[in-house]
Amino acid sequence: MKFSSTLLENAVNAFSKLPGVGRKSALRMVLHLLKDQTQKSEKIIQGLLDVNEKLKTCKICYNYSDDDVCMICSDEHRLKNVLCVVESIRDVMAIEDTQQFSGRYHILGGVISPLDGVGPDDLNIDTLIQRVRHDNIEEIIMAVSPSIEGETTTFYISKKLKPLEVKISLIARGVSFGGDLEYADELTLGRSIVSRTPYLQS
Amino acid sequence: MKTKYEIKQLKLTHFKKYSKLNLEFSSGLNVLTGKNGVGKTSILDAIRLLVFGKVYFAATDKSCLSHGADFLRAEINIFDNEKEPHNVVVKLQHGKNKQIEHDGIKVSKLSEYIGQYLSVCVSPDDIILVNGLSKDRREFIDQAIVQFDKLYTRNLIRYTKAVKQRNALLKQFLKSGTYDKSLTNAFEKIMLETAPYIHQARVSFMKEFQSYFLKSYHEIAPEYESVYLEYDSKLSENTMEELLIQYEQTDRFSGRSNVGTHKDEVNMKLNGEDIKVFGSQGQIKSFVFALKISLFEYFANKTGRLPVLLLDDMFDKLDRSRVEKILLQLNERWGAQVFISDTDKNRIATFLTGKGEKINHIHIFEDQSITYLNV
Repeated sequence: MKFSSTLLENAVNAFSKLPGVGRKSALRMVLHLLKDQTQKSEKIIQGLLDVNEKLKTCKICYNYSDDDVCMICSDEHRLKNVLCVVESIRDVMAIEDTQQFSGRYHILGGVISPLDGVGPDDLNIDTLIQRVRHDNIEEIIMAVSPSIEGETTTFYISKKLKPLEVKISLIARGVSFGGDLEYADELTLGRSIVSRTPYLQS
Repeated sequence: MKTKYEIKQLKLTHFKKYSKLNLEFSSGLNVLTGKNGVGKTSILDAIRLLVFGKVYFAATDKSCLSHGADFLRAEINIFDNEKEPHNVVVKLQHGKNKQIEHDGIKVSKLSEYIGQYLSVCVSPDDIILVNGLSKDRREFIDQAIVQFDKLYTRNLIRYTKAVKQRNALLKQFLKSGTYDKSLTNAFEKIMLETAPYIHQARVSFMKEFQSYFLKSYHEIAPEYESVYLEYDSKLSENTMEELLIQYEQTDRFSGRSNVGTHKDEVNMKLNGEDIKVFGSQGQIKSFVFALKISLFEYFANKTGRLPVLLLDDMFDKLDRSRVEKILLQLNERWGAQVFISDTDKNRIATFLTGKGEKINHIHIFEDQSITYLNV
């Protein structure tokens, strides 16, 4: 790609460093912002500066937050005694979008993987145990990914929580909605058969 | 009647020396001739990559990219009992994951694809099954079982990952002088779940495979010699749980996992002795060839489907009349589709003349151009 201006080139280079953005998309974005008359650029710049300067991490669940405690943790309408344990902030957003969960969250910040140098101390596991111990938690729902590392993390946490006698559940794994049975992979289908649920007649 | 898979067409782009290649095959014997280095083995490897998802003769899939090319593409059409052929495409690009398409549908995991088609590869390097490490012998068993037992593949992948993580963990503990049993236990839990299945599957495989092997060996080497394969695993006497307890301290102070199915061994015996030490070159070659040929027969009987047989450079390594005899038998007994490479252009013609066999003879020139010399 040949540029007539180094200023333009610098801007395109900066955009193309973003995940999922190639040089062509970067050029398209920069040209779009240049043409724009509604101060989009200023809004983007201000938004990013604000995020960099003011965004905090919730000291309870480790989600991003405007204040010391995030909006979910400070919401009095949510259940206080149920915790959903997830790997990352994106998982919280995915579960929130389902509108099926009214408890609170705990973000681990990853899963245990010695090969990647991630041990329990690098994750928010201690604080999870503290929360269970002091906050009257009755159930924790483990919603980490179904990988070896995810399973191991769940197992490790369940061991650490054993003396506290809290109920631990796993999110169910099974056939997706709107999916054809014959296209479901064998492992998923097999598991859904084994861990089938009773049919409730309404 | 066994289901037979017939590879009809192969198309390659930027695969090793071939910038572009289209080949047609016949349902019986396909012979590739040409001087050393013209790319006979590459064609066999392309077929293996397509039917198994991984190359066999080359070191890695990536090494099959033509020099200077940034992608490769391989495609085959395979006929089974149905009218329409199956189609498999493999694409490989620098910096990207390998992509397999089966009948136009993207394969999300290689482990889901393996076993769709069966194949057996025979290479002069197979001698490592005798001379090499126990890892090579385990790989032979694993590559056999994964082709017909999906549950085995899954257990094996889970087990292997768990061992790798546990090793990394033990190493870290050793370095830092700490130890957290609940953390090692977390990975051991997965080993405990998967090891019994892996062990049991290997035991049954070795038991069933043994008789096929004995038969093949005596066909290849008719002089009376007793051969035996002995599966040697600590799990045959103790459970994985007992073993992990026994080895806890050893593991802790060596910083790795010293016990489990990843330490299994296959002892290869000739007249009651270790063939590696007491076997002659000829005996070892026959032994290894018998392992592969019997795998073909095992697959055919076990699954009711015929594997594709890929033989690289066999005439140079083994007594010719024996190889010929075996190939003819396979062809007669099963009607198998066989691919074989040979440096001598004329040898194959004399081999099958007058035997009523129709062969597809492809000769490759030094500039990678090809010609069909059908007899």
